[in-house]
Amino acid sequence: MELSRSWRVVGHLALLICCLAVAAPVAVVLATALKSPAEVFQPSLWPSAPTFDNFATLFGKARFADYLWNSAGTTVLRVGGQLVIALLAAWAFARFAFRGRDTVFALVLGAMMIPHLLTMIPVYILMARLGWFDTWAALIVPNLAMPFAVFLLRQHMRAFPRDLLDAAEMDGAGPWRALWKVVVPNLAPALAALTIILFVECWNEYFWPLLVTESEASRTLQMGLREFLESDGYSDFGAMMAGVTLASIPAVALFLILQRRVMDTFVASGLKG
Amino acid sequence: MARIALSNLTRRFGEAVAVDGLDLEIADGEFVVLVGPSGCGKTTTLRMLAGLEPISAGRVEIDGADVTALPARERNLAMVFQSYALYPHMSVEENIGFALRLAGRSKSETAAAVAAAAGRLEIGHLLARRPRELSGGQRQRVAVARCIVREPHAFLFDEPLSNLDARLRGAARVEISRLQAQLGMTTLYVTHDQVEAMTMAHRIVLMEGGRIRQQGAPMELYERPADLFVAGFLGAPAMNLVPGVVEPGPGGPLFRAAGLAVPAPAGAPEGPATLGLRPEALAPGAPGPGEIGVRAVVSHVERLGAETVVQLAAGEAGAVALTARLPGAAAPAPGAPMALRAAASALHVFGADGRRAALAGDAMAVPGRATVSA
Amino acid sequence: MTDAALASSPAGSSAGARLPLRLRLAGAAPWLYLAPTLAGLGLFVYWPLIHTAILSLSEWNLNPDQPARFVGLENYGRVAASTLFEHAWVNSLIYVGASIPLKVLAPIPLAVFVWSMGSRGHAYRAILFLPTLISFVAVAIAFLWILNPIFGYAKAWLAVVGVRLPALLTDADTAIWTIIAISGWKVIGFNMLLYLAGLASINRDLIEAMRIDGATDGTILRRLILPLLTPTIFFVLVSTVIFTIQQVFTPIDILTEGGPQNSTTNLFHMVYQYTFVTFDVGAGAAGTVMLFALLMAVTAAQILALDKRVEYGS
Repeated sequence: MELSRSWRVVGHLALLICCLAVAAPVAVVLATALKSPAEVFQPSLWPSAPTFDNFATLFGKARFADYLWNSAGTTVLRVGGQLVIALLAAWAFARFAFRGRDTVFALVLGAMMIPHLLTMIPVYILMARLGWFDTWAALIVPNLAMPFAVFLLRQHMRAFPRDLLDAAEMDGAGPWRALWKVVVPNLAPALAALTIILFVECWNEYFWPLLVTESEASRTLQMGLREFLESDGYSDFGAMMAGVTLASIPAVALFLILQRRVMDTFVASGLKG
Repeated sequence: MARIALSNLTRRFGEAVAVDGLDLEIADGEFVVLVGPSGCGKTTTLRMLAGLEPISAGRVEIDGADVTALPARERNLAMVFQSYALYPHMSVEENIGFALRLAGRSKSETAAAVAAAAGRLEIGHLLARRPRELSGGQRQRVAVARCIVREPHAFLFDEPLSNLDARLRGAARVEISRLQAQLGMTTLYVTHDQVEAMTMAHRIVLMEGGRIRQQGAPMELYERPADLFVAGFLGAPAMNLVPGVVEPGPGGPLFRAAGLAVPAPAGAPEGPATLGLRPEALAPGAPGPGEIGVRAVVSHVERLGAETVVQLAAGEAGAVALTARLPGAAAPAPGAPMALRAAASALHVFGADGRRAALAGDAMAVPGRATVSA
Repeated sequence: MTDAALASSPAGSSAGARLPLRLRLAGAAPWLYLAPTLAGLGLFVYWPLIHTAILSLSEWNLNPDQPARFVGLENYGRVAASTLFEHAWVNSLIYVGASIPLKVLAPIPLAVFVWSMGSRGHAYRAILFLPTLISFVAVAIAFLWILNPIFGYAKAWLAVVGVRLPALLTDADTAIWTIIAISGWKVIGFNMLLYLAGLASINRDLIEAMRIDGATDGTILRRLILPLLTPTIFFVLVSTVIFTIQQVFTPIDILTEGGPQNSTTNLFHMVYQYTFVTFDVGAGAAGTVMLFALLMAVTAAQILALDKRVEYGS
């Protein structure tokens, strides 16, 4: 819809201001991260001699290599697991008619509206009983079942052309093979969007790792940032901002790679609830 | 190929009955067309045979084996869908070979079978393409190739030509008929298009309201429609159906309607009746021996080139609308009076119950599978 | 509903008895597909909800060697009487209340502007979405540096225009608003995207039709777009309310740890402190249950107040 000229000007102005408000802190972080220690406390947005020394500090003084490994490993395993498990559940809802389906689906949707904070104490106790503190399992397993992912994939599967499913059935594919050979290859855009959402959520998670990781070797990147803040960060803002940059790059990069698909799926797939 | 038998096949949706105790046998190599208006249950019947639709009651047999409980993938039937249902993420070659690969055939075996099927349908040059890069006609061929490559018990077609334009449709009809004859395919073909039914079928099964109204060879149904519904459904333009009454007259029974009076065919029962006459049975001119005559006024003329379809008004105040199909040259002007004649043997009479009355001329009726089911 | 699903058992249930075993087992198939999800949700969502309620009635210090003791409603009374609770509860309402104009309403005009620009709005959309991708830890630490009262960029930039930057995070009057602003910075882009999703489903023919009827931009917005957007607004409102209290935990923990003088704590942070700082599990669980009740009440109120007015698009 084309707005009238005056509203267009207002719109561009408002959006420009918002974008500036978003971009300015990002610019500050990047500039600080690339500055030499001598320059860090000067409020210029352009480092006179850009340097990666701050990043070297992260891997020298702090154990960012460990943090990175833990974050990458748990995120890949968790997101992969979430996708597979959600695909299976969504397929059950979309493909089969069975007694109790609507009730079970309501329970899954209900779980989507229950924030972690309401369940964390018992889950924490469970992790303690299982002896999972400081393990990847504690970061991965409790979050494998993802109601939102089930919901989104079910929506897409229900919109899947029925003739194609029938054709697969006639060709001799049972539900299992139809899922993996016919449905999943055609859900690529939705899966890309979902991957981003799950990746960002896992990669950026703060509260749960705070509870279940104790030793330094088991920390994720976000935990590492906090750790570094409390040990050196207040004195070495250059390295701190390098850490912030490092922690943000993977999610932003993944997003840029899959950008179009994500935006389109987001916008087109009825996240309306 | 195989024989198929559906007995007492029923599908209910809650209170509504989509298919009501249908019995149908398809002989080995026979081409049966299931035709009827939308909602008549023809597609549901096909899908129950395919195994894609739950069966409320009845049974499905293939070559004498009861497959009612088997899922679609274990019935070894192949189907061409209205949308063609080609897998968008696979090449044409992968589409055609998918079923064989699922069945565990080797790559080389599959490739050979795919090449043979593609050759038969003249799509060998398209094997590397994706479905979205194909035209409608090409997609339709791929869908057929996907079926024949499997050498299934039978072929099911679900309105496979309705997404093609008129010209391609004609060519595709010829091609499917030819392929069916060559391969001796046992075929059940669903369509709402009576032209497809008339031109392709060995046997037409005409459904309405979840039941079979009539089945038989196309010309049998055309020439001896069992009831008003069949008479009105087959043929375009549709048969002229004039409601009236058969009364005794001085020279034998007369059919009267809105001021019209024509001699009723011998054997027509007295009482309320509907007279049926195909548009092509009407010709201009005065009636000769063994013919009836009607005077009418031309109300509308459609020139189709090879023929002309004329709408006429006859009887008192023009209350009886008639359609005549005349050769191309005949082109009367609207408003002009016109005398029409028709062979008395071309008349159909339907009784008050809508069923066709047996007429004296019917003695010559072709015997065969012309069965009328309730 | 049923029509979308294929026939899982073509024979229907009546033929079940004579089915081969393999096919009779097919009825269990959907449950097998669902098993991992149901196990996960049961173990890590639904059972913990119940377990939390049980824990809220006991006294326990997380020590596995020391059994929990049943104390009835004592924990609730203790938590409710504490000054921490008083602050947490009032602040939670502030966090939630402030979220509505900032996170629920402000993104609506932004989304309409972006939407009206068509593909030319994609750059705005991408930039505004950026904060969604960055972790709250990183965001909080970045603002810690920007707002640093001695060396921060904000101080230097404000000095140019002659404004002196107060110590926002160490002043009990400003700290909570600073955290709210930062969480708004992070969330506005995401909520804008949700609105864009809602706007995308509006049939543009309707707009054309209204325009041909002579409607102005303002009329179209008021009479067509906003009414059709109400389901999305409702969804954003409910989810923002439910998740805000959880979401601001990270900036609270990193920027102020609930201070100064409990001025930024909320119910979630309170629960965290009870449970994992002082190991008073019963109090933590009681706080959780009260928080749950608060969320339920607010959500129910929203549903009652708004559900009747939600209009559904084509």
